[in-house]
Amino acid sequence: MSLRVLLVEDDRELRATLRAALAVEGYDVLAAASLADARAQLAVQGVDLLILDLGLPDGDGAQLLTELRKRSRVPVIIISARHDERPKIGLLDAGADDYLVKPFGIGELLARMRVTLRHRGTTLLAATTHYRHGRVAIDLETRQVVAGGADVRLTPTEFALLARLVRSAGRVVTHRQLLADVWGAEHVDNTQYLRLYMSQLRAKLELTPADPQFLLTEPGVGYRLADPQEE
Amino acid sequence: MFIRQFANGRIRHGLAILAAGWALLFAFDEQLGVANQAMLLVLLSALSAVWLPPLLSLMASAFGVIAFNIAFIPPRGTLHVDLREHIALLLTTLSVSVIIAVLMGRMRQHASDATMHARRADEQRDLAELLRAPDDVATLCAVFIDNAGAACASSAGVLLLGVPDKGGELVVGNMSKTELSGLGICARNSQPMGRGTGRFEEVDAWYLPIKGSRATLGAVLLRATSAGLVGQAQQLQHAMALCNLLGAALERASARQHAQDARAAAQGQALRSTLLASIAHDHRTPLATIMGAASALRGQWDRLPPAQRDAYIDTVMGEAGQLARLTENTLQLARLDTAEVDLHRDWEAIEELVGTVVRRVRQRSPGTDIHTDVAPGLPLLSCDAVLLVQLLDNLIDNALKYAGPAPAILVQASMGEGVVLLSVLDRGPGIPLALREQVLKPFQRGVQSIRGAGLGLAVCEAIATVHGGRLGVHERAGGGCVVQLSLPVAP
Repeated sequence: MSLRVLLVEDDRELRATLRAALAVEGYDVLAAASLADARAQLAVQGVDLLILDLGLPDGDGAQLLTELRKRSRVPVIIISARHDERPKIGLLDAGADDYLVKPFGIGELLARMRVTLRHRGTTLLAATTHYRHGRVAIDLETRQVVAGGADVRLTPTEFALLARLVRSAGRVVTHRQLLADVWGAEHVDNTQYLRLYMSQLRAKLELTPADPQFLLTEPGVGYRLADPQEE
Repeated sequence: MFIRQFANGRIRHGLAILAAGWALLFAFDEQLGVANQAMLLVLLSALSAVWLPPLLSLMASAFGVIAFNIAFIPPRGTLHVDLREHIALLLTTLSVSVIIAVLMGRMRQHASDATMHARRADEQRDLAELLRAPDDVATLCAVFIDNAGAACASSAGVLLLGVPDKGGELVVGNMSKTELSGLGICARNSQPMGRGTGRFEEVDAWYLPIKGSRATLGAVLLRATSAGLVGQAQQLQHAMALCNLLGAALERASARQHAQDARAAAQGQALRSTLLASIAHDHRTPLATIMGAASALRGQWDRLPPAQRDAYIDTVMGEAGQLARLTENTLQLARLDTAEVDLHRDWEAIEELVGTVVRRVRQRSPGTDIHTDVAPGLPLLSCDAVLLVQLLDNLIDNALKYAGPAPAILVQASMGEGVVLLSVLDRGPGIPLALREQVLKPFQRGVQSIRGAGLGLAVCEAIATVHGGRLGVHERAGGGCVVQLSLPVAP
C-alpha cells in the first residue's frame, strides 16, 4: 500500500508540479489549497505525511500544525518562502519534523520525506542505534564511536549530544531541542555550550572540522547529522 | 509689603536691635556723654539699615534723631536745643544716618539684583541644556513649559506655527480659546503682548513670540500667578530670553530633522536605483536564458540530441538557482537598508559558518576547488549566522565568477587585533587598485560582463556594516585577490 501524503500549498503551479512529482515516486497524493481544505481532508482520512506551506490564504500553516499536534504525531515537513528563521524554528520546536526553504529541488524534498518517514513512530519503536557515514561509525548500545578506523573517546556530554543527533539522523534538530535534551530545560538559551561541544565533536570526528561531512550546521536553526550512508 | 517682610523676620530683627540700642542709651545715660551717645545712635542707624528696608530705615533714623533730641539733648524732654554745637551734632548724626541708610539700601538692592541675575542666568543655562537633547518639537515645547513655567513662577502654554506634520499648528499645554487666539495674534505679529509690554496692558499674562533666526516660529503664553510676576520689566526680559532659547532649540531640531530626511531620501534613492538596476539587468538575464532553454526544449525536443536536452535542462536549473540567489540578495539589501534592521544575534562558531558556506557552494557547484583554513581557538562571535553565511557565500560566488575558469578558492579565518578576519582568496586576475574601493559600492563591477556581482558585494557591505565590521579588498601575495571581512570580537 502506498503512503498517503497531504500537500497543503496555495500556489496552483507549485502544487500541481509537486503533486505530479510525488505521484511518480509512488505516493498517494492529496492536495489542499487552504487551511479549511486541509482540515476537511484530514477529518475524512488519515495521512502518513503532511507537507505544509506556511503562508496560506485563510491563515498560517502554523495554526494547523498546533491543532494537529494535539492529537497526532503524523510527520510534518514545512515548506516556506519565508526568509526569516524565527517562525521556522518556532514550528520545529512546536513539533514540525523538518523544513525546506523555497525554492527547493524535488530531490531535496524526496530525501527529507524519506528521512521523516523513516523516523515515523520512533517515539514508540526502538530508535536508531547504529549510524554510519563515511569514516565514522557510531553504535549507541555499546557506546562505541569509530572515526577513520580508530576508536574515539568522548566525554559523557559529548556522547549524549552525539547520541541525540544520531537518534534524529538526517533530520534537523534545533538548538533548543538539543540543549533541553542534553543539558536540561533550564539551559535552553545557553547556545555557547552547544557551540563548544559541537566544536569538540567535530575536532574528534571530522577530518577537516571547518569542512564537516556529517556534523552539519543549519545556520540560525540547529544541527543536522547527515543522512546515514548504507553499507 | 512691610507686613509681609515683618512676617519673614527681617524687620523684627531690625526693630529688636533698635530697641536694644535705645535700652543701652538709657541704661548708660550717666556714664556716657552726649557725644558718645550720638555715636551710638549713628551705629544703631547703620545696624538697622542692614536689617530694615531703605524707607523704614530712613524713617527710623529720622525719628531716632528727634527722639534723641527729646531724651538726651538738654534741655531734656523738649525739642528745644540749648547749645549751638548740639544742633551741629544732631544735624551731623541725622545726615550720617541718612547717608548710611541710603548707601546700605543701594548695596542691598545691588546684591539682590546680582542674585536675581545669577538665578536667571542659571535658569537660562539649565533650560538651554534641557532643550539640547530632544529632537521632537512637541517634546521640546513640553520641556519648555515644565521649566520656563517653573522659572517664571507661572503656568505656560505654547503654540507653534508651520509644523507640517501636525496640520500646520501644534498646541502644547492647556489653554482657553481666548488664550489660543491671543497666541495666534502674538505669533503672527511677532510682538509681545500683555502687562508691561505696551500692548494689551490690561491682560494679566504675557504673550511672547518665539523668534527664530528668520521667522517667528510660534508664541508662548505665561500666565500671571499669585506670586505676581507679570509687570516686572526684568522678569519680562528674562521670559523673552527663555523664549529665544526655545526658538533656537526648535530651529536646531528642525535643521537636524531636515538633514536626516535628506540623508534618508538620498539613501532611499540610492537603494531604489540599485534595486531597479538589479531587476533590470541581473534578473532579466537569467530569465531570458531560462526562457530560451525551456522554449528550445519545448519546440525542438525531437530534433535535439539527448546531450543537448540535458544541457538545456541543466541551464534552466542553474539559472533558476542564480535567480533565487539574486532575489535573496535583492531582498536582503532592501531589508538591511531600512532604519531598524532586525538582527538575530547569537554566539556563533566561525568554523560552523565557514563549514556551512563551503558545503552550500559544493552542493550548488559540485567539484569546486574550495579549501578552508580556520585558525584554532577562535572566539565565538556574536552575529547573525544567516547573514554572515550569506556574506561569505556572496564573496565565494564572486570569486567563482571573477577568478577565471576552474578557480581555486581558499576560505580563511584568523585572529587580528580585537577582530576576527574572514577572508576569501582566489588566484584570479585580482582587482585593479583604482577599482578596489568602488567594487564594494552598489552596482559597480570590476568586470562589467559578470552579472550580479555588484549587488552581491553591496549586500556584503551592508551585512558587514550592521555587524560593525569592515570589508576590504587586497592583492594576494603571489597573485590573486583577497576580500577580507574584519569583525569586532566584542559586539
